[in-house]
Amino acid sequence: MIRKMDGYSPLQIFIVIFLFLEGTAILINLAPDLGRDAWIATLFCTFIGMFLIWWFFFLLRNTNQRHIYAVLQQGLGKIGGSIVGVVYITYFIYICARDMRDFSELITNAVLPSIPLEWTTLCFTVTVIYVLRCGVQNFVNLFVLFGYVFAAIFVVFLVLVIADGELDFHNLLPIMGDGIGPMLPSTFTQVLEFPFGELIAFTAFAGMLYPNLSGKVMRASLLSVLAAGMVLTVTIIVELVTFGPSIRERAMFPLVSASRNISIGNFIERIEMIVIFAILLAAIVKVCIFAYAALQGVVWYTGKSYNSLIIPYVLLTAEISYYVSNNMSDHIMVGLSFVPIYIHIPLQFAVPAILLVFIKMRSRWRKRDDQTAV
Amino acid sequence: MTKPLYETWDELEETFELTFGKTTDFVKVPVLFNGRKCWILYYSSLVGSSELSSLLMLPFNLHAAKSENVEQFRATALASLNYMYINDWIVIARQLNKNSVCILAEGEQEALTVEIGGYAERSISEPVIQPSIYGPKIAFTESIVTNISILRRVLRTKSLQMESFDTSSDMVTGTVLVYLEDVIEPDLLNEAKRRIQSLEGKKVTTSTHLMKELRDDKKTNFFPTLMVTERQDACIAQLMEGRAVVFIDGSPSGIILPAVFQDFFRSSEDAYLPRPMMIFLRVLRYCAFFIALLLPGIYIGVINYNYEIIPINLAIEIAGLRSNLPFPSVIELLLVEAAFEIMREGSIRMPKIVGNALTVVGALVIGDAAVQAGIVSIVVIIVVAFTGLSSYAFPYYNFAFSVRLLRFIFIGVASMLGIYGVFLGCIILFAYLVSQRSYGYPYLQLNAKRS
Repeated sequence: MIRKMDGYSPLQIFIVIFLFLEGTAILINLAPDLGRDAWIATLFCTFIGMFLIWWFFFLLRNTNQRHIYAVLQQGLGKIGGSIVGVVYITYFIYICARDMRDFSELITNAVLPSIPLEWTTLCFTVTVIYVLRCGVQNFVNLFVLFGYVFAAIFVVFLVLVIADGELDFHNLLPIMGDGIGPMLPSTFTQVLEFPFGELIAFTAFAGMLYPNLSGKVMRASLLSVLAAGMVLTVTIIVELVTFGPSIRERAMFPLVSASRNISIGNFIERIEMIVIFAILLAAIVKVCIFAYAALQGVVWYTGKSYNSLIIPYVLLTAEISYYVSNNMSDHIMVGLSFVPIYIHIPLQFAVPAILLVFIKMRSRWRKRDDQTAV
Repeated sequence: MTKPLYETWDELEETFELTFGKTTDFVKVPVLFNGRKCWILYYSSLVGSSELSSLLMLPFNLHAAKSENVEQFRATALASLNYMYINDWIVIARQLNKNSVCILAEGEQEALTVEIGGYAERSISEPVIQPSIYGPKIAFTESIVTNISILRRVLRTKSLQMESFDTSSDMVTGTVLVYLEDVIEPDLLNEAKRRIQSLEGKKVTTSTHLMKELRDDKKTNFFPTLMVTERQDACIAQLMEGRAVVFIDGSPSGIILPAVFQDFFRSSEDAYLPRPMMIFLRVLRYCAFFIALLLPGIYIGVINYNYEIIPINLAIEIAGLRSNLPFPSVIELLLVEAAFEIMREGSIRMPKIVGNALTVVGALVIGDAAVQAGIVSIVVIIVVAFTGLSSYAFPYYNFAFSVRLLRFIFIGVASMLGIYGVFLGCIILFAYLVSQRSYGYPYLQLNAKRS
């Protein structure tokens, strides 16, 4: 029986959030400073991440707005809201560019060393433009397909890693050897803000896809963050037990290195291409979601049509991704030291918190005004 | 309201020439109907002489003299025939073009047309394009009436409805839309009717032309959004799933609409197999799809950019085979692909007996001589042969075309970007598939229930 497309299902948001969180987090070296405790930090942050998505969606639900740009205007007034809204658009484009750069660096480093970075970035950009031009309903469906493929590849990868047998679980010991105190700053800046804090991008359009952000959609989102956190934790454990914390700390793309190590019967070797394919799928999702979040803001402020904005804005993002840093180590250094403190904290935590307070206070004032008027 | 058929009886001959022209197969016979003047009109090419004499002339001789008017004669002598009373020459012409005979008696304001038919037709034969082992050995023919009879013989239910689109409109060839009333969705039905009606005056005469007109988005259709079948059981299975079938006179196939991506991996044969076998075959076809689409591209990508991902022994072997070759691997692959496509195209056009010889010659020349001469490597031959073989694994012929075409795009992309290009190409391909629609149904049914 063939079926028509019916609205948006909770499954779709589950898979989109899942792939978004995997995005580049599964690719790059997550929390290198934490050494053998990186997985505990990730596990811990998963639960905070669940709170974060609840909080972000609560912000939309509580104000009855469709997206964060409208929430900003409601909370900060017309001019203040627009200024912060433009800051958010810039933020989304910047993070999108950083993710694009992450992935393009992977391609030039691990797949196509002979091809210049401009060329791989451009091809990636063309793909993103095409996917975005399909329209949100279609690309969300496409991401569902990606989700299945990603899950299949991840399972195959796990099976092969276990079958390979070169696992040394002593690499995980001692668990939290230095106590919980030294872990906290790095946990906050390196795991919580990236990838979990980036879920703020969903506030730019989730309310438009799902008018009712409670019930099943909420449960699917929470489960999705949980599943994504588990997958990230398992990935880090696999990386740690295959080559230990000291090598992992230095590896640029630890997951790719781990898959490169697999060798079964001298026949199944070098499966990193398949793993890179899975990473590519997740990276496309992440870049598309960030670009879509930024585009929604531009559409809302300028009133121009979505389709006419895709090409200039995605090309701009690609341009930024090329000039955002000189080389990979520079890129990672900025990503670990500068971005979390000066960009992520204000926009992921401070502004939403202030918004919530402002809106609460305004509604209380209004109530009080109403009461005094009566 | 409308003009009467004639002012005076004698001017009728002029009217005939005005309406029907001077075509030689138009027959007009003046007869006497119970003492009144009467014309019998028909196309000799559409009405068989034996049918005419047994169904019309014999009753005419027996009963005409006893009847007071044409209706009494029809009711007693032609009771079993499909009839119409018409007072408009254009409609009469249309009816005569649909195997009818017209009887116009003096003093009557309306002409009687009765359907006689009886021209030569091909009898029902076995399916040739889509043969099956267990399924019914019955294929559609060029006649709509026969095709519908083939369907109703199995689907004996009143909900099997059909609508003809040539009585009311100016379509030159008869077109019939068949559907199961209680299963089909009203939206689909209306859309199908609207599209067929919009063909009015376009002179659509063949099923390929009809398909071109009926499908969605006419410019960039890489994949077929309609299915063509000559099998009765395939048609019935689709009807039961709520789809519609369109037949056009003169084409031995039914057009099933809408069709989605997954349908092209389902053969009507599957219904006769046990479920595990069926799943196995489906998986096999999907594998064949990806091999036919991607294998040459992956080969190019691996050989040119990412040779490290193949096992070391195989890599050495391939490198050894390719060491003395004059061409770059892309040119080499394209040469063999071109030879293969030409051979395939040639063997379709050739008469069957010559066709075999052609494949033998082609295989010998391309396969053996090219390798021995050191122009292409044997690995490329294997890749192309495997790809070609895979592209024959689809139950529907028109689906293989899109795969053949897209394969070359993947080769081009892989030659520039290696495996990465193949990956990006796959993503764009599936983004394209996801955004395609067939009659409002998503082409890639991602959330569909298992059937």
